[in-house]
Amino acid sequence: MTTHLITRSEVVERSKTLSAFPVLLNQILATIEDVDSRLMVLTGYIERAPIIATRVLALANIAAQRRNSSKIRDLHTAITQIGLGRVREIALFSSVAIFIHGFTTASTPSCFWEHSIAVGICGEELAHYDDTPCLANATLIAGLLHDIGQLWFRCFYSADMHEIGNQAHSHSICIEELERERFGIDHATIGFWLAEHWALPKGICIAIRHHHDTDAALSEPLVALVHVAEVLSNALDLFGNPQNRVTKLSTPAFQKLGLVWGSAKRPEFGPLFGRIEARSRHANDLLQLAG
Amino acid sequence: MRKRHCYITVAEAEVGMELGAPATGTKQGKLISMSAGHKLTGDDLFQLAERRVEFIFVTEPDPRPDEQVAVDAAQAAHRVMEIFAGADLSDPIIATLFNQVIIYRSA
Repeated sequence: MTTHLITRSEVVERSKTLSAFPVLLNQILATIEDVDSRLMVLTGYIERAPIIATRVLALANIAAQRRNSSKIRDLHTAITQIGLGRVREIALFSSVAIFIHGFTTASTPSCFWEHSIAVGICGEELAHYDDTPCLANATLIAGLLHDIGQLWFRCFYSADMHEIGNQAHSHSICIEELERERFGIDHATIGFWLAEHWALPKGICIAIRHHHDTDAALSEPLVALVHVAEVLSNALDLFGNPQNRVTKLSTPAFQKLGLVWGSAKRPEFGPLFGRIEARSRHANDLLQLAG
Repeated sequence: MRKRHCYITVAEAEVGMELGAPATGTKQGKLISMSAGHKLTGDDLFQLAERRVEFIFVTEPDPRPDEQVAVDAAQAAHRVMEIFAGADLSDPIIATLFNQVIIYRSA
């Protein structure tokens, strides 16, 4: 039964009382397209973000230690050593982590952030698997933010969400169905409104909007990537979250990524799973640096 | 001794690890290639990192006794079945994914 209809203006206005969306994130996403100046521009952004610069240096030194190389003390050498792609990944990761921290409350489950990371990194690897590495960073962001609407719900409708969570678990009902019953909309729509308000690229907004309801929006490549990433992150039990479950998946989304036997691009699941797990451990390194 | 294989990131690689599959990378048109069975040196790791190779497939000694291997495999299979307990395994796509995860966990 609907108890309170939530509107777009309520979502946007109330989000302004939470942490401000990081300008850095959109700036970094813009450097993906800017081939000529991206190293210099990205270095400039990171120099102005001490937390991220520290993480880049720390990660470069972990790698240097494993190679028995001397300690790296300056940011330029660190960026050269670990590579532009990896640095951008750290910067995106850190910006979203700091931002999401401002959205979390006492009622936010501890596994929430781990699930978001798992979907983000799984999507990033799927983008490489699908020969669309240019989409890797956008998929990472879409994965990290795909459930941001749930965090919004938990901030402003904590008791309702607690009840909905219990109901969904005990009756095996999709959480988004229960959200729609109570509020008239689900967390995917709230996430979409927020992403649009933050001026995120259109593809990321659409992927957040359609991560449960994919089939009408598969013309946007990020939709299949984020949906399949969520399914695989649960199937592979990334981060060992006890709530990891595979219940339903979109066949067209799997077909779009060639993850179906008999498709033109025969899938090689073993290497794909191995790489996803390796990337997941790498993300865990980043998390420990963040701690 | 039994061996096990896994993908690791180049950042996780250590001197002395053995490649389970060839590793290749290029920089400014210069190719570096290491064959399966090659034991990594500090210079190799530097070369791979410099060429932005992200992952390598390595072979490591597995010191577990047979009984432990069987217990670990059974536990892994049980967890996969728990994860897929609510899934419709008559759907060919879900069934394929389930089978592939079971195979991967048993390897």
